[in-house]
Amino acid sequence: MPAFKIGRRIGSLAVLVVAYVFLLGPIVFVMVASFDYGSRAYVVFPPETFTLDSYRNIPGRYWNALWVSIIVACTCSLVACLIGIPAALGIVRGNMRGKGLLLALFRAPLQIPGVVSGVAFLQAYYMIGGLTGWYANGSFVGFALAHIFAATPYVVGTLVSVLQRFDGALEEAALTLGASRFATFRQVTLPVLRPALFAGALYAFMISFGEVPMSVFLAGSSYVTFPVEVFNTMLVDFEPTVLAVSTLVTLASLALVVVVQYAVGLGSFVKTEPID
Amino acid sequence: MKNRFALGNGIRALLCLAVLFGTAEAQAGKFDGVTIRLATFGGKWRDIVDKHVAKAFEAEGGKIEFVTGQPANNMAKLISARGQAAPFDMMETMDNLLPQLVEGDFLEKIDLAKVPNVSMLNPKSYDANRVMNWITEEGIVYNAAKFKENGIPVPTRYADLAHPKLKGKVSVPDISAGGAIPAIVGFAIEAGGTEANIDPGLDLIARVAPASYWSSSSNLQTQLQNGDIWAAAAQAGNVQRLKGTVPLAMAFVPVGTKAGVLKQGYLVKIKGTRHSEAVDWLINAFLATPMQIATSTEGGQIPVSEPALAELQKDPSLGFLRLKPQDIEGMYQIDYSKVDQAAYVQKWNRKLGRR
Repeated sequence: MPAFKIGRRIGSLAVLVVAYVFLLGPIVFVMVASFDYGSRAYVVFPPETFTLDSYRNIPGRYWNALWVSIIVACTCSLVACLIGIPAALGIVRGNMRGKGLLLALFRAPLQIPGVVSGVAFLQAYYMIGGLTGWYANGSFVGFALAHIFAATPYVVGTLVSVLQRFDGALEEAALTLGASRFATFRQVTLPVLRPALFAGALYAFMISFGEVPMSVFLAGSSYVTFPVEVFNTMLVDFEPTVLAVSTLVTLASLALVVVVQYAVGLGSFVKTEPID
Repeated sequence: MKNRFALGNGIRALLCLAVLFGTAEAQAGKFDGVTIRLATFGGKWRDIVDKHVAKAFEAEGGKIEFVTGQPANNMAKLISARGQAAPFDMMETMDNLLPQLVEGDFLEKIDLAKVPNVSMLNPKSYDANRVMNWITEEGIVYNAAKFKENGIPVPTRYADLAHPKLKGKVSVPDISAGGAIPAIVGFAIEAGGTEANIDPGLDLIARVAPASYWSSSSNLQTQLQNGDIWAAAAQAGNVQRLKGTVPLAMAFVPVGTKAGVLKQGYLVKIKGTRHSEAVDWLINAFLATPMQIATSTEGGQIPVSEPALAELQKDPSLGFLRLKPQDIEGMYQIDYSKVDQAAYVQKWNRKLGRR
């Protein structure tokens, strides 16, 4: 093998290693540091002691917050897809004027800083509460609505990009062969949209699960999301249990990816070949 | 016979009722069924409040629901809820938000007669709008060993942070951090400015050219521990938290005619609360000596009640703190009526933001 090819391979390998270290380094750092419980004030790396005390002492409030985050993120993901599918179909295939404007509107939440959206949602909830007597802030519904607002653009965006490349002849063929509109949608359109739908749903889940700027304003006494709980803790003082619970969340996420890999296949999330 | 039997049953029933009522009365707490929503800080502080205040309240039949977040976030909730039901009954806040809370008419008067523990406080620490429950003492935290090793003199003013040997080793609070205003005011007064004129202070910070701007205590403590930072404008609690790990010391540098800057935490009662008496009770519980001592031993802040301060003075390891009431009196108290926080942020961004 020519020397320049060997050099290029070594170079590529070096870039790959650097990229992985860059991506995985912080995760490994948190995981390793979580085994030191000696100091309560700062992160110790590498750990001076090896103990599972951080794991044993995880306060109950983290588990409650984690549960809230999971439920809210699942709901957000589902509802964002339910909104995103018809919205994307309408935007790409509709004959109305101002489709560009409509698409821009669906993308608007991405342009608005989360803090601004958070305050706006909070004020809206109080206004509605004043009229109806029911206050959504500090509740599951309050979180879910705000997170759906933030996550829907990701679902719409991924679906629109796939639909714009979608060959309408496939649907026409199904209709010509006698399939109903619903059967065509279910058996032809939806399977084609599936990778984009999975990707959009995953984005929506991640956006909701990690959302802080809006959630700090919407959190109440009973409902606090996991990242907000961690954020509030870290602003006051460092606690080693934060590292422990973060490690567990990371491991759970990895386990989830493995389960999805077996159940659905990760290819569904990343399939990008042209649709024929 | 039948009548006598009926009478006996009647007496027995009455006795049972008397016992039941008696037991119920004995078990009844002062605040049965009362839930207070307390807006306070999260993390360890919430746990301390839960242990020393909420448990005592539960013994009286009440319950605390914590609404955790930074005071500024909780303030935003109050503003959003204006004219509606208050989002919480009481709030732990800091001195910088007090003027807004008063001017915004968000506060309900505290019935000080129902807060007997205020008698243990400096009379300047409370009025019907607010009761102080902790302070932090702000100045320069420095690594005494590194200073000695490198022949750097102990800082006696903020400008000493510009020492050439400290280049790349100094941290100053970011404008978003809790310690930002005390630091900016401290720098400003030393440089000839005031609370209303912070430009000289910002120029001095620019001259110091900090290596980092810390955003939270944990962030600063990690930098101090790993040796990245040798000196920082910060509060004395950092020395306490890193005791036994890093040989930190505290310098309360002159600020006008005083030394060091005070940052104060307050308890306020929110207008519209339906449990005014319970809030007064809780404020009193925050000032009880065990909670006040825990403020320091578990939380790293400094109590305000004199018995708690006297107790802490017995601990020689806390000698770096100012725990005598006259020493605390000798620290600079910021006049927040002259602090324009929006202008502080703008000026900070203009002068230091691009660095």
